[in-house]
Amino acid sequence: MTSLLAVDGLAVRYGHQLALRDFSLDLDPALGSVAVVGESGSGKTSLARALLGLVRPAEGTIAFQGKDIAGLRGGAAREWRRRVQPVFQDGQEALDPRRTVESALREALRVGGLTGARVPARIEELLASVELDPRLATRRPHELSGGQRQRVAIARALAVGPELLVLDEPTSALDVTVQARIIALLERIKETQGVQLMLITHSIALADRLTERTVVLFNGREVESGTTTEVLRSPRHPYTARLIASTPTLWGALPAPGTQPSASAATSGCAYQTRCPRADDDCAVVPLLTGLHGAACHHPLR
Amino acid sequence: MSGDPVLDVTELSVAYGDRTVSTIPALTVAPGEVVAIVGESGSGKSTALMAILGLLGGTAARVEGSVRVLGTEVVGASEKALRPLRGSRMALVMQSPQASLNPTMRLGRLLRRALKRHGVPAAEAEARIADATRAVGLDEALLQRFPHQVSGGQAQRFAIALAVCLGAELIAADEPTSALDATVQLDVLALVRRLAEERGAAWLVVAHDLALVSMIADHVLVMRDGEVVESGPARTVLADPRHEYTRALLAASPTLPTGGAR
Amino acid sequence: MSAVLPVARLRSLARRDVLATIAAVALAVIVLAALLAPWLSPYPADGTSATHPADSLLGPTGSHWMGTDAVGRDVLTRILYGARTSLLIVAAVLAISAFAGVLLGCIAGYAGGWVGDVIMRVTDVFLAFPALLLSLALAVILRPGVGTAIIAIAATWWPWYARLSCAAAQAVRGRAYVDSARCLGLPRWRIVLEHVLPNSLTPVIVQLSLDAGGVILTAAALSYLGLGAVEPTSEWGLMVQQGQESFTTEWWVVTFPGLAILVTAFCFNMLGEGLRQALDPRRVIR
Repeated sequence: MTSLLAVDGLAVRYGHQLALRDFSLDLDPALGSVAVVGESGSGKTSLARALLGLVRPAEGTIAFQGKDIAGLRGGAAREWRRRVQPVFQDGQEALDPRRTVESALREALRVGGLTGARVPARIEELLASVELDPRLATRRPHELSGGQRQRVAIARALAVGPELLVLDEPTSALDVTVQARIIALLERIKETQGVQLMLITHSIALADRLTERTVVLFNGREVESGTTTEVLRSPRHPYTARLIASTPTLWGALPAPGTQPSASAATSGCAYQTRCPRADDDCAVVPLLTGLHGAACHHPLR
Repeated sequence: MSGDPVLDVTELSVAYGDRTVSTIPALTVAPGEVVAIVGESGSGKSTALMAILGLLGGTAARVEGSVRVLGTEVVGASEKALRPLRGSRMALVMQSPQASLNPTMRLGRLLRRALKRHGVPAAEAEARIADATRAVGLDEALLQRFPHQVSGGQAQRFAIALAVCLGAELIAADEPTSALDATVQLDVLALVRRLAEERGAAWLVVAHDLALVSMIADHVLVMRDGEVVESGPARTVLADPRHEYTRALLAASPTLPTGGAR
Repeated sequence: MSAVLPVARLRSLARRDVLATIAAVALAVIVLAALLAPWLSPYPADGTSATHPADSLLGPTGSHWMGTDAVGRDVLTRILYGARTSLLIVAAVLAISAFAGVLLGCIAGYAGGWVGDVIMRVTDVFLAFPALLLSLALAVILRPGVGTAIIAIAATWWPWYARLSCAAAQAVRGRAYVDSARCLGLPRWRIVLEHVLPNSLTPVIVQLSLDAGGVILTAAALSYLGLGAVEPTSEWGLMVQQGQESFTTEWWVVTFPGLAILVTAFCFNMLGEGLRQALDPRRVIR
């Protein structure tokens, strides 16, 4: 068992609402980075927050090196925190507004056990690794651009030497030209520092650029998973296919009128049946997801 | 596209103090035409839209130049002079319309009240509502719901239905799909295109994604740092961009690499 | 501190908000006068225990600018010494209630759950009593004196700060930077002290200066009712109470301490209002 994190039968509940149910995933570094793709209400953010220990699972376990994170204390808990770091959507929100860049990095370094004379050099190194001018170290978040803030947030996560970065929509608050540069930076970090990425996103293109494996969530359930190439190039679940077809492309065709899907998910059986062109009576039973490139669908596309 | 332009902008400039934040030398939108202003944050695209709609009156902004909507000059016009234009002849569709709808009223009542305020008789109002909801593909049963009970995509269709209902000839939209889920985004774009073609609505759309714009726009203005760096027919600008910045935007546009399954 | 009180911002506001600036200067003068009372007073001994029955109830003259009271003490001297008492009460009450309120409020706001519930329900109980009434009850139980006044007023004041900082902490708790600190594995107390508390302080700072005026009035009311400062301590409320019977004939005994209360309370309110606007992040300063 080499998995850094293993998720088994995870469910997350907010009040009476199940945001995520029966979710399992091995985050094995050998299998590469993972994208979790979904729209609002898919449960992808709940998954990220559960992995980071920010919400308590309603059911199931998240194991760090074989031990449930809910039971981690002291040194073991610190070890888990150090190895798994988040990068949130908006660097403005993710940085304490009253702290300078330097102080934010210093805080993270102290957690990693680094204090004293070597700190300034390490801060400079970290800023260099995210391609930030060291002179920005004295600035506060509101004195930085959106892209710069996101770079600081990444540097702060890297400061403790993580093995897994949980990225929750890391570029969606940024301008498109800035997005491209942050994506390039993440690609470089992944390659040069050997960090595994767990990317939470609504963007097919981002998953394609940054990950080797992709999981598609719909309405709190995993509907398809496999290698990113398989899932995005030859999707099996009708929902995945629709998601891919919905990405705007230059000169892409617009959908014909009259295809407006019902917005609400079905309450029993396959949740996608109310919007699915292939739905029939079989879909009253919740489909199971099996196989290496699996789709939770009674009538998959392939 | 034929007919007099619905919107005719010349030498528009918006300044705060001595800092000019947005200038548009020339821009026209004819009936049935979709014109897009593209740029990133700080490009001045949204400010331009506000100025065109006459929404900067009473703020610190100084607006100069000329904006004619259906023959009426908007720059320097009083609120009273703009009232006949607002709602009935020009409408604004926002990024997240749910926030701008009165949460205590059902959608149907919101429509009826708006029509009544614009002096449409009750009998005609019902016919117009039926027509508009059909035009935007909104289930009439949804009119019984409150704004928070519908999805983002449905709320956006409703906002457009409101504009159609009131007979707006110019519909301005600020990032109308960027708050929506991917799978409903294209449906709303298709609706924009269809209303232009079938009903002759003139659209002025502000957006940041060129790929998205390429799917609906006839004409494109690319803005950066308050200035128009390139403008022309969408085909020309996007297929053969002259300005380096337009090329950078195109390269950054989130699209899948070709050769996939699509 | 520069993020809590942006110096440049304050300076530019001082130019715009003239009233708040005047209030700040006036308060500085009052504080200085209180500190230097022994040297500024014409009859320093009158401020503490001396009496001169022979000079009782003299009107304002060159030797007694504000006249003398029933036992012949110089009113100006008593007012200067009274400022010491009033400002001490203000400082002590605000320090105690802000410290207790902010700490409890931040813990309740950040921790939530049953801890937060218990803290906030206790707070609600204190809030349910009218401030003056609770102060009165406490002052009756304890022996009247400056210390009692401070404890009594602080006991009714802290819940407001707890409320305020609980709400602020709840807002901060949901922010991504607090999540980010949790993900670094920082201990809870560090997160509360280093991230939640500093970012919840702005509304408290404003409230402090707005409240100072109220504390002065409450302290004066307690003394006036004989439940606060006692003779021979100089205190403005006490002076008003002692002079009230002869108000129509010897007006100066009541009027000058009354004015001192009014002006000081008013200045604190103006300063608070100015700070509220200065620290409001939505206010754009060009």
